[in-house]
Amino acid sequence: MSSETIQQRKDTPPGFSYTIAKYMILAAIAAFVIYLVLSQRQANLPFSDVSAQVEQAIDQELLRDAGTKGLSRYYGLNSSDYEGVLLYQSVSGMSADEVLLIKVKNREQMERVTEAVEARRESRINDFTGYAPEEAAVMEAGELIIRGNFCLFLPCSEAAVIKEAFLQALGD
Amino acid sequence: MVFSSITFLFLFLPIVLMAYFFLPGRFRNFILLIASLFFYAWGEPVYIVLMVLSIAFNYICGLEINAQTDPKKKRIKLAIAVAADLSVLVLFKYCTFLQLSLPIGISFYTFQAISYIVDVYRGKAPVQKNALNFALYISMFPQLIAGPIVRYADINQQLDNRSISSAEFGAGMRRFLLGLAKKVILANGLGAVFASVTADSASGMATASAWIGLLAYTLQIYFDFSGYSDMAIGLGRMFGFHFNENFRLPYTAESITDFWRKWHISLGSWFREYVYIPLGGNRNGAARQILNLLIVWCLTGIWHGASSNFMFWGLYYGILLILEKFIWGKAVAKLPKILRHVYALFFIILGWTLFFSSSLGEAVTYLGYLFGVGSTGLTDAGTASAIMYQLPLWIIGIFACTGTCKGLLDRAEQSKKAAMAVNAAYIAVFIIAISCLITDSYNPFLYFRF
Repeated sequence: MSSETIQQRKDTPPGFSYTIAKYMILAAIAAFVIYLVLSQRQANLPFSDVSAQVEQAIDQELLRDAGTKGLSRYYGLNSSDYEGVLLYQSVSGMSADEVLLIKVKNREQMERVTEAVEARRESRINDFTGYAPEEAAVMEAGELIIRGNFCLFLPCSEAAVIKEAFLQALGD
Repeated sequence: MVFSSITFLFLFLPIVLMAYFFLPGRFRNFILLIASLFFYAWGEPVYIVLMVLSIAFNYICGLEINAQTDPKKKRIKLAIAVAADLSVLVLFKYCTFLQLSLPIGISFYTFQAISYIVDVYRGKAPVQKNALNFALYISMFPQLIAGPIVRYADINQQLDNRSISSAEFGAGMRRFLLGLAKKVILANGLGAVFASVTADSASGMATASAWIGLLAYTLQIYFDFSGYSDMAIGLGRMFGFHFNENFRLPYTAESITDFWRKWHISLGSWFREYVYIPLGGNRNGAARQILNLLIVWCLTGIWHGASSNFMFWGLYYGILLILEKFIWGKAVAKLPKILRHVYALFFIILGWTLFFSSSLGEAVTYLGYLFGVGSTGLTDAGTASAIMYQLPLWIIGIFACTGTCKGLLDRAEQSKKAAMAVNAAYIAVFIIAISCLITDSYNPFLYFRF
């Protein structure tokens, strides 16, 4: 037996097969991928599918698309950082009604979005307190719904209808 | 967690540094490994499992390849290992129909793992039998998420034996602060200009605004990525590691070939070492060399992302490099330096339209705006404000791309007389960067998405 073979046999623990270990790890990776595909189904629905259903539920005579500039101006968020953004705001400056649907890419983004939403909520409540208390109440009651990577902020009189459309789109 | 975050700067890093330097030296690799796994798990609590499995797989493969004496079987085991690594990368990055999120850093740590396997196969580096050290090589937090891609052969000795001194620590810290400033002050600021100018580009842009947006992006991506690399290299140095440079003032390039010797050097080196040379490089005639270049640059583009614009970006550079090598390279070399510089910058800057656009169509539309096709006019209301809004950043940013700036910085750091002023400047830069972090919105690294 060559010295090289002897050294190789010393390096390898007795009864241990690199090949078996290697394929076991590959099997674990495969199992992990399958788990991810099944568990991330909701989180990975295309934004366009969900937003289309939400948009259908929005009364577009009362709310208009505020676009990417609206997200930047009112929430301090850059739309190009996210998977998808939909922001509708009231055509009337006297109304607090708003719908924000956003799909994030990771947990840190979700934290950032929720912070921005709460900051927006507080700012609008301050705007309306005193002269339009009912609008302040709409903003205060606005629901923040998080499902997977989707976040829906609904300070809106039609919140129930839009929420249902959102949950249906997600298959909930 | 990102380097340019309050959590990292004031919580994670101080704790890791204290543990690293105050505990006995034999625990250093272990501490760094635990910190790296925690760092990754902070942002990817699910995908940490994938990285650990990848580490285990490549560790076993390295031992197996090293133990195999039959050359044919050795080659088969190498092929299986590389194919498995690439399959996982392709699965998460390009199989979009599976709707899997892209694990942060997978492109970088997969390429590092392949680098290790191939270097062990070729005998260029000894196999790493210490599982902890191998895990540290793959997962080391300074370079895990956005590079530089560290070849195993360049670092294996440092895993077991590296020097740590106050001078090295200080140099590392200064490098880190420089990177932080590049990212938080310059990249974020100019990124805001780009975002503002291009917010409604789908509905049309003025030509001047299109150029301003493109120039802003040109600076943003450089400071974002090179800033991150500076931080990674600086952090590595603080812990005693010396990583190779990833950027060498790329916007001073005098040709496209020169640009790619200065931009994302670790990626270019990786593709040269593990794809271009094994394909035959320039050893089998011009036709084969052209094919090899096209393959490498197509892959380089695809490495950046699944969408077609990245592939076209890679091919754009592949074609330019081929043209320089075979058609006009010698003519360019004879031009005055300033013209060579203008030539290189023209194509580099235009190339970024392919990079930031989400499709080829969008890139073509933007290119049209640059030359007056489909634009809303020469200027618009936003043109002047896009420059004036961040004028100091434009001036500093352009100056910081030059060799003059680097030369001044290097001379100042070496001057004993200027030492106090230099240290004060670094402290001031740190304070400004922290102020920007506190007040600015979310600021991810552009290259995180790769």
